[in-house]
Formats: sequence, structure tokens, C-alpha cells
Amino acid sequence: MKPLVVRVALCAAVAILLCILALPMISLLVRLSPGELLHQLTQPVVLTALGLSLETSVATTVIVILLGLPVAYLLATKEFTGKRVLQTLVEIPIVLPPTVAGVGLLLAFGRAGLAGGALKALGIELPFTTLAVVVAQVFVATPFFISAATAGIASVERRYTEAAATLGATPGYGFFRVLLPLALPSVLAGAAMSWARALGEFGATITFAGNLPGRTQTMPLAVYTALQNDVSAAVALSVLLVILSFTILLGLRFAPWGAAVGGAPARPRGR
Amino acid sequence: MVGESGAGKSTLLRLVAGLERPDRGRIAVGSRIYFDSTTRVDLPPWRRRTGYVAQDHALFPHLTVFENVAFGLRAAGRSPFDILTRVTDALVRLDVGDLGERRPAEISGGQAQRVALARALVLDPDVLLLDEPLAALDLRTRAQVRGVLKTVLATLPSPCATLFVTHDPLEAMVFGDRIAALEDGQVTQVGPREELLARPRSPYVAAFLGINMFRGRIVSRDGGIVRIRTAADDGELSAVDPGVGGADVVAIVHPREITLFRQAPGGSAQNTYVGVITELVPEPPNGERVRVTLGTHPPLVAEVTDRAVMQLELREGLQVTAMFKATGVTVFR
Amino acid sequence: MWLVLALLLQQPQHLSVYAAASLSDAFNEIADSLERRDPDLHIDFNFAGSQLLVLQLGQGAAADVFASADDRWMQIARDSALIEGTPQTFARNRLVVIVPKGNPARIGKLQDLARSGVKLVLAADAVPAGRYAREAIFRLGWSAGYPPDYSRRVLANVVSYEENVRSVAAKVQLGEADAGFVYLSDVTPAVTRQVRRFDLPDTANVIASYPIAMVRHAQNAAAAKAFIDFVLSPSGQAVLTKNGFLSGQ
Repeated sequence: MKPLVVRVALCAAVAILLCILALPMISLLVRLSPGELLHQLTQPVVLTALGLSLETSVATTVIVILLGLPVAYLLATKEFTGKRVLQTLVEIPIVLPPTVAGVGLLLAFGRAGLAGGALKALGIELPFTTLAVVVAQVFVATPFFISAATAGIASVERRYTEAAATLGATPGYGFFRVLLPLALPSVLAGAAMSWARALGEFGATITFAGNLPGRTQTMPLAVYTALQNDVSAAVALSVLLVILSFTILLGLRFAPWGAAVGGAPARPRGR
Repeated sequence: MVGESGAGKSTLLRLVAGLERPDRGRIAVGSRIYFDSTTRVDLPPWRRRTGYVAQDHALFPHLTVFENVAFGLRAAGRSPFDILTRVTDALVRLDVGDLGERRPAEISGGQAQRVALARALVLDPDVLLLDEPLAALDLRTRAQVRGVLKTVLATLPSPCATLFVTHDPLEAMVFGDRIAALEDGQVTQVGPREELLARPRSPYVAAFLGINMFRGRIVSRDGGIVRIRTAADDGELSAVDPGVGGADVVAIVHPREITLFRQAPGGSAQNTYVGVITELVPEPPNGERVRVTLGTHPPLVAEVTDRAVMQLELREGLQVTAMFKATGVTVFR
Repeated sequence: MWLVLALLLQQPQHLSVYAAASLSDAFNEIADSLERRDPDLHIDFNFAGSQLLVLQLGQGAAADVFASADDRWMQIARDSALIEGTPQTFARNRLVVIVPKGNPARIGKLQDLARSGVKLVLAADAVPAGRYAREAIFRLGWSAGYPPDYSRRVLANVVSYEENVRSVAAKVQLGEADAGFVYLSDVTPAVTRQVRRFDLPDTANVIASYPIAMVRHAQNAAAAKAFIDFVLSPSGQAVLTKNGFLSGQ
């Protein structure tokens, strides 16, 4: 293909994609005056939803990392029967429509659900609680973390972990001192994506946890509810959500470990 | 341990280090048993006291040189003071004392290899496993590091056995107190340098020791002298009749038995060959003797004094005549 | 009306109807009848909360008919010039309270809804059913036989504001909610099997009026008119009554 044709095609592709991605956000910003935005920021409903969103999404990310790292380590370094089944299982939440996920969660962990009796015995009733919001978010966000972390851990060359072992490091010590630090950029990128997904979660949350201001009404739910009463309030909330997510995701790209977040490990300087 | 690529040298090191597990067998260092398939002993790598230095140093990229060397000590829970003194000592001994704060990406290959060595040595291992430590270095660096390495190994505070793997026979001769030849997963010969030189047991060993060893068949007999045709069919030798026995024999001509001339002289030597000098290598340690590889039929390696080289003005590409007596050929079955 | 249909028989007709969620069963039945009589007619539905439908219409969604669950949203649609002509009330609905068959919260009468710990689910305020439910709760509170702080305590028991009334029914059906306010028409045969129903006294009940109108700039005005006429006809009313609605008059 002629170089010019290739160039034009590339530019066209980039332009189209940028339009699809950027225009909705620009439209939101254009519709709203800073005064309206500030006014919304002082509304208790908004602050409550914002606080709840941040609380739950951060809790979710922590849980996803704690539970996901061991699984990622397993998938990246060991072979075992059923490995492919586990990999597929971990990826399923991505293809499941969030509302379907919500129904599944309800049928599993609801009061009348499969595990409902067991939970009740432990004194836990999940639906309509903030904990349910976290559970719903964990369900949808986990695959993002695990796939990034698995790839990151797998990409660390075996010779490093082998060297560590010969120097007397047990697998645990080697994991925390060698494997994890070298896989950190990918792990953190996965955590960031997972956090972002949790923040934006709607379908599973509203179906499983419900919609109650202060307890289960996260930002996306607040936006949807506001949409039906007051479009400008909904737009303000949406803008808030977009600014929040954009700032944090952008900030992560500038962090010290992350010349590397989402990319290859830092290039070694030439000899 | 010397061997061609694929002979199994690296695998052997990995087995000793614990990075691979044999199907059957026994691995012990001194009285410490690392692996025994009959008694189900299998120590994991972190419990074996081996110092493993890979071909490409494998220094941890996210740690400084100092932290790299300190890694094993930290894993063992030593005190900070202990770590500081031992690491500094090791770095100085390996002549990389001022690189402590650098990262592996910022130092040269030769320096990195020395740091890797320091990292292994600082733990006082039972056995040091060096996997072609000089292979990844360019020739000049190789000479430098070779020197440092030899000194370090010779002056270790607590001497430890070292398993040095190489495909370069010269390195084996330089470093090896005992040399093992590994061919296709089998050790064909192991012993002190002199034993290998005197009685090489395989063409490979002979070849890298620069001994002329040929398998061949006796093709004719005449008054106490036999003609032997090489199995590779690239020439014939005259040797003293070995007596009764089969026609398949092994013939060895020690390089010192071969005399070199610029022009063919007369004389009683029955073995005369004309060929071009393909290589002139001064022998360690001081180059007083020189190995001369000849492109004759069959190919020969002669060993002469450096004075002879000067007198004859020998150089690569020069055509010379090589001669040795039939009595200079050792024949055995 | 049959004349109009006959005239339409010539080409494939497409009709788009935006209707409140509670009308889904009844309108699907009506669509089946109409499509059987006129195979060229294809009717597409968008069932959602009336508030969402008005939002979509306001953004230019292409529909021919709009059936709302209350007069308020129809009025808003009228004020926004989204509607053609005068809306007509074609059905009415009343609220009931449902609890799961197993009755986990042991609700025996409406007063029990104020008991602390009861998990009550309502539709969101913007949804007509939600607004009516709140009204009904207040009216109950003012009735004889109910404590003065009834409405406050009942509303404090709400654990979720759903986006449409069918979701409320679903949560009660699944046994996750202890009680919910829905329309009588939402208690379909399938739902009845899994819930128990409490009727509200007429004095406290809120009667919902369902207006229907043609959307301005409808693509298929003729078919739209035919649909509306059928809904208002005895046959259409019969379907609605069968599905639990009260007649439009």
C-alpha cells in the first residue's frame, strides 16, 4: 500500500475514534456552566453519592488486589489441571451484561439465594447494603485486574526469580522482593482499570444492592436518577464523574513507578 | 566442565543449583545431600548453599549494585552492620567497589558479571556454579575479567568448590584444577589437567587439548611398521606395529613429537606432511610454548617453542612441512 | 377503524409505541391481535418508566404513540410540544401492596409496614408509580386506625428506589424485599404465584390515569391513529381489564 494511503487511513481512524470518545464528554462540559457545577457540588445528595462512590470503589480495589494477586500469580507461574477453566471463569464477568450479573448475584447471595442461608447464619444479609455495592463492584472489576496482573507477572523473566531462589530466597520472599516489584507497572495499571470499572458500575449495583441515597446510591445511580427529574443536575453529576475519573487516571500515568503504568518496564539507560 | 553447546553443561549446573530436578540419581556436595531419588531427598534451591552465576549475570534491575549483592544476606536476616561489611568487602575484592549506588543498567557487562559473582560469593556457598561466566563478554573484557576471576577464586577467604562450565577449552585449561569433558549428556573423562593431556579418552577431549588423536584402520603392514588410514579418511600415518589384534585402532601423536620445517628436509621420519599454518596460539601461562595448527591431511597440531617460531619466522598462512617419527605415534586398541 | 386498516393493507407498516412499563403485558396482547389482523403491520414497543420515555422523546426519539402512566408526564410532554392532539385516558390503575409468598417480615396488615426492620421497596419518585405510592402512604397515615407517625416510619423502611415498577415487583418476587408497592396490573398470573397481595382501602388509594396520545411528527400517523382507536375500543378495553387495569372511564 502506498505510504500516503496508509497515512490517511491512520489519521482517519484516529480522528473517528477520538470523535466517538471525546465528543460525548465535550458535549457534557459545554452544556454546563461552572456556576451550575459548583452549585451541584454543594448539594448533599451529590456529596453523599460522591463519597459513597469513592468509599466503595477504593474498598473494591483493595479487595480485588488482595484476592487477585494470588490468583494472578498462580495463573502466571504454575501449570495445573483446570487452569484454562479458571482463566475463563475469571474472564466471564467482562462479557456478562452488568444487569445479568446483578441478577446472578441476587440469586446467589440474596436473602433467598443459594448462599443466602449460609450468609444469614453469619449474620449477613447482603441486598440493599453498602457491602452489596462493593460485592457487585468486585464482581465486575476483578477480571480487569487479573488479566493485567497475570500478564505482568508472566512477563518477568524466570532468570530473576531463579537467581533469587539460588540466593536463598523462599518463594514468598522472592515474590515480594523480586517478582512483584518487577511486575509492578502492570499490576498497578490493572488496579487502576479495575478501580475505574468499579467507579462506573451501574447495572449490577442497582439490581443487587438497590438504589438508596447514602447507602447504595453511587454516582452512576445518582446520575441516572437525576436524569429523570432534572437533566442539568444529571449533566453536572456526569461532568463531576468524568473530571474525577480523568484526573485520577491521568495522575497515575505521571506517578514515579509509572513511566510504566500500562506500558513496558522502564527502558535501561544505554551503556 | 567442558563441552559443546547442547552437551548438557548448563543443565548440570541447574540440577546442582536445584533449578531442575533429575528423574533419578543423587546430588551431594561433600557430606550434604541435595537430592537422592532413592531416599526421597530433594532440597529446594533456597535451601541449598549454592552460589549460581548465570551467563547473563541476572542482576535484579530494580535494585542497586549494593542491594543486589546484599540480597541473599537480607533474605537470611543478617544484621545491617553484617550486611554492610560483607557487601563492601565483596565489592572491593571483585574490583567494583565504587559502583555500589549504580543500577545494573548503568554498568558494563564485565562489571555486571563481577557484581553477580560478588552476590554469590558473599553468601559463603558450599559450591560455586559458574555458567560460562565469560561467554557474554567481548574479547578484551574477557581477558580482564578472567584475570580478576582467577585471583578471586584463588584467594577466597573460605575456599569453596567451584564448578566452572565453559565451551572454551582454553578457559578450562586456565581455570581447571580438574577438568570434566561432557559429551551428549555423558561425562567422557574427568581428571587433572595432566591426565587428560597424557591419556585423552575421546576425540573431543583430544581435539580441545590440542592433541592429535585419530581413529583409524591398519591398511598395510611392512616389517614392523603399519600404515593406518584415518576413519575420517583424510590421511595416513606410519606407526610401529602394535602386534596381534584387530585392524581398528586409535593413534595419538603428541604435538611435541612434531617438528616443523620451512622446507622438506631429508631424514628418517616416516611421517611427512606439507600444509599451511591456520593458527598460532601461545600457550598459557607465559607463552613459552606455542601451538601451531596445520591444515595438513590429516590435520595436525604441533607444539614448538616460541624461539622456534621466531627462528622459523612462522606465521599464519605460511606453508610448512611437519614431520614425526613412526615411534612418535602411540597406537592402542 | 377497520376501514383505515384496510387502507393500510397495501404496504408493510411500521409502528413505534412508547409506553409505560406497567403496560407491557396488555399492550403486547393488543399488538398480537392487531398484527394477526394485518400481517403487514409490525409494532415495536419501548417499555420504560414514563419519565425516561419523555426524556427520550424530548431528545428526538422517533415514536408514533406515547402512553404514559400518569397525567403529569403526559402534560410535560404536551408542554414540550411533543404530542399531537388531545390525550385520552384509556385505562386506570390502582396500587396494591405485595409481599413474598413466604412473608419473611410477617406482614399481616398494612399497619405492619411501619414496623422497624421491614425492607420496603418503592419505585423512584420520578416514576409515576413511585409518586403514587408515597401519596398512598401519606393518605394511609391520615386514615383512622393508623398511628400518627405511620408515614414517617414506613418511608424510613425504604431500602431501594427502583427505576421502574416492574423492578419493584421482581425484588418482591425474588424474596429479597419484604414488601413493595406496585400496580394491580403488575400482579400478573406469574407474579401472583410468588406473592401475597394486600389491597389498599379506596380512601387511601391513588387511582392512576393512563393517557395515550399520538406523537408529533409521527412517521406513521395512520397506523398510530388505528392503534389508539383500538386501545379505546371495547376490544382493547377488554384486554386491559383482563390484565388488571380499570377501564378508562
